[in-house]
Amino acid sequence: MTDPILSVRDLAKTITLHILGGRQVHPLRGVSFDLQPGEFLAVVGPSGAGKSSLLKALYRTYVADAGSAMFRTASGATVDLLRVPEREIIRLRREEMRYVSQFLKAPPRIPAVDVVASVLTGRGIAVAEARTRAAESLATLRIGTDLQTSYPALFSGGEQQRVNVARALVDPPRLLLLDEPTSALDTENRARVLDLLREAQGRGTAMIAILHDLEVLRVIADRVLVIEDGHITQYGPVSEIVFPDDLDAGTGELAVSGGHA
Amino acid sequence: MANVSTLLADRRAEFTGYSFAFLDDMAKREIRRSILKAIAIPGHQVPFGSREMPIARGWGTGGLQITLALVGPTDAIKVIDQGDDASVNAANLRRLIAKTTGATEVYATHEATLIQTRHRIPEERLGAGQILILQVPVPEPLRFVERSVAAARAMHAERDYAQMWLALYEDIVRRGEVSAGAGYPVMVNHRFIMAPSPIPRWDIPKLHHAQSLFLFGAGREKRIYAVPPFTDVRPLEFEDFPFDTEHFDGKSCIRCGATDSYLTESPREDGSKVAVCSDSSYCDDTLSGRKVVNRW
Amino acid sequence: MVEPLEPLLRVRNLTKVYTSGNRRVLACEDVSFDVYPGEVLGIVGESGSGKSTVLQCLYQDVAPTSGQAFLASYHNGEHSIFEADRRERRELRAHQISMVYQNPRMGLNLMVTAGGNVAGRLLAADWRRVSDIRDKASDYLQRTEVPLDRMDDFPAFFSGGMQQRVQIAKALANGPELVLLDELTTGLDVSVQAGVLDLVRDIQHTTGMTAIIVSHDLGVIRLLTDRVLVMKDGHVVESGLTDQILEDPQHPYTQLLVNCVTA
Repeated sequence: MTDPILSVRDLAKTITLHILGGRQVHPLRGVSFDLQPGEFLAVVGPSGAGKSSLLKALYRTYVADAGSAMFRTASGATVDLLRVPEREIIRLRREEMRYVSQFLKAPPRIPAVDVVASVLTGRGIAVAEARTRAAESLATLRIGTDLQTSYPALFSGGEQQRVNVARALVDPPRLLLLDEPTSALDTENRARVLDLLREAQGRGTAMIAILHDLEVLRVIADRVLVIEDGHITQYGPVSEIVFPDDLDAGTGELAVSGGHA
Repeated sequence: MANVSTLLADRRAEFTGYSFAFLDDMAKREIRRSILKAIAIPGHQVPFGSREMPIARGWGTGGLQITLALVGPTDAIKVIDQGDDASVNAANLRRLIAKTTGATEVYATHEATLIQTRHRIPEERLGAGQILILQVPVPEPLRFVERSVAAARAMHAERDYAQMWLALYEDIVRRGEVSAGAGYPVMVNHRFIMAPSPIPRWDIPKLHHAQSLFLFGAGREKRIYAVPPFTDVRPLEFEDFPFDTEHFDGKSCIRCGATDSYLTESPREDGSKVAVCSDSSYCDDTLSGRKVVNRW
Repeated sequence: MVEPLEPLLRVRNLTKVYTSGNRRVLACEDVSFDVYPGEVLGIVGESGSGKSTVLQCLYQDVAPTSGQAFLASYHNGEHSIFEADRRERRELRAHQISMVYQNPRMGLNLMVTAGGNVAGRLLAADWRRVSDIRDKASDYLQRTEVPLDRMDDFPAFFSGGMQQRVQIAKALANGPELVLLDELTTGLDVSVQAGVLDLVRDIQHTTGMTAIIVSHDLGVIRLLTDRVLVMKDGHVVESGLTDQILEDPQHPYTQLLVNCVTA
């Protein structure tokens, strides 16, 4: 095994709700794991267990209280995502890591193609080329040219999610954080998204994804991390995990169409 | 102090009941001091204590005070109003100066040592040693872009002329040209924007690197400023909208036939208009066959 | 490794106290922050929190009581811009810092055409070709979606939204290093607000402008900024990445602010 791209140790997060009299909640109580380049780590657990908090803490949307998250950058340096200056986080978000939320958070009144292209232009790619690549990426996810020029806010949930995935994968970063990337998709689109994720994986993108769909998980995940009440209760290859009951078993269709091109 | 001029002053005072050159010594001294300062800082407006004069404010009191502060009994004095030696105002001023100083009254430009003028620079080129004194109604070129006197002075001090350029730009985009006809603003010595008094554009180039001294007096506004000899004076112009003087294509002076002087229109009894030289001395010279060798 | 990029602006301990008679009113105190090239910093807080005072001090409409602000391009960042004399201050405004006021009438000369307003900054920067100035001005007016046939009209007769667009064009002409935007949508109709926000966002996207945006509107902050300072009673109570401030606010006041909006 190579060096991990991300090494998380004792990550803890406490939220103090001042407006509720200082009540404290503890979404993460010491989480540790390693992630290899190209590895797909699935995060499962009951709602409120701390899954989203984990992704947000790594992305720095949340301020962690303790622990470390050592990330190996493209230049070979190792930085602690929890403590690196905000400036560097902004650069890493632009160039090396991306977060795909469950629901599209696209700015309003921007056509879908530009939502996706902005990822590329933010990295200095010329607008025309960025648009072309964005359009290709959207077309792969079956967002047609008519939709590409409309505003994603007007799209259905599934269409929005595909725009979201296109934005994540148009230029795969070194680290991808995914919150339920396939939850709103029909079987066929789910299969396409999985193909794209695998393709990115093949190019070395490491992924941490919150998944509810056991079937998707079995197709794509290398390892699984089960979180309950802010603790890791299981961590290992898919075959060794005893999955909790509330996971969606899937429809079985994915397995049937799993071999599609 | 007991020199020729003092003696003459005494003699003149006997005649007129006034001190030499009308103004008292302290007044003249203060005006001369302001003139020296103005010469030292070309284009900069120097305040001075403008005195009450025997003519109304706005009729050339600024120019007159400069003239009276400089004139001596041996000077040859010429006064013109819009180029004309014979206008009532010019004649009155000239008579006052001569009467209180004993200076000689002249019409010919080349003979004059001091020329007081309203709104023209003579056609004949002024030489070293000649002084042109211009009467100025509005000395502040920024008056029309900045109403506050204090703010305008700060703008001069900091060479902050963007507002002035903006006014020229607005003129060009809205009228197709800079509308300022008389008194086109100039940049003096790369430092100060100056109001050249309401001379026509025709006269503006004459200010640049001249041999003579130009003094500007604004009596009502109490300001004196100067363009010393061989000073760089350039009209404000955009690179693609160059400054241009008036053109009199095909027209000639009805009196002397000149085609190379600044012409004004003169109405006739039947309502038609004819062109005539604005500079009466130049017109006389051309008419009498004297060739004016020194042109600008 | 990260290239050691220098901040474009470093503000240190900026304090402004207004005194009237023996009454002292604290507008802002000990405000310190950095702004890096290409970054949009938001300052959020309720009215009276001192956020606009910070901008006014930086644009030198208001003299700070104490503190420093170092602009990288001003004396190599070795002297505070608050030490600038009148001439240097004018140079700073002509070339380096520009301001978009909440009220367009503050930032526009209503006696001058829309094009002239934009041209003013270019003329101040010694542009002396009318055709170049006009090209540039129309370029910016076009970018801010002001119809070109209105370029030679007086903005006094424009709608509020259009005036704001002209003001933005004016602020951006001549490529300032830092743009200060004070509540730029507050006085506008909701429908017009969206257009102005989109405009600023597009310009930010295409030009990579560095800006400080003051707003009490978290929607504006979310849309336009990378980082945020939260101000209350003249003090910075919290700062962080914009999504962090909005999703994981630490300070009680920020939690209240965020919850008020999302409620």
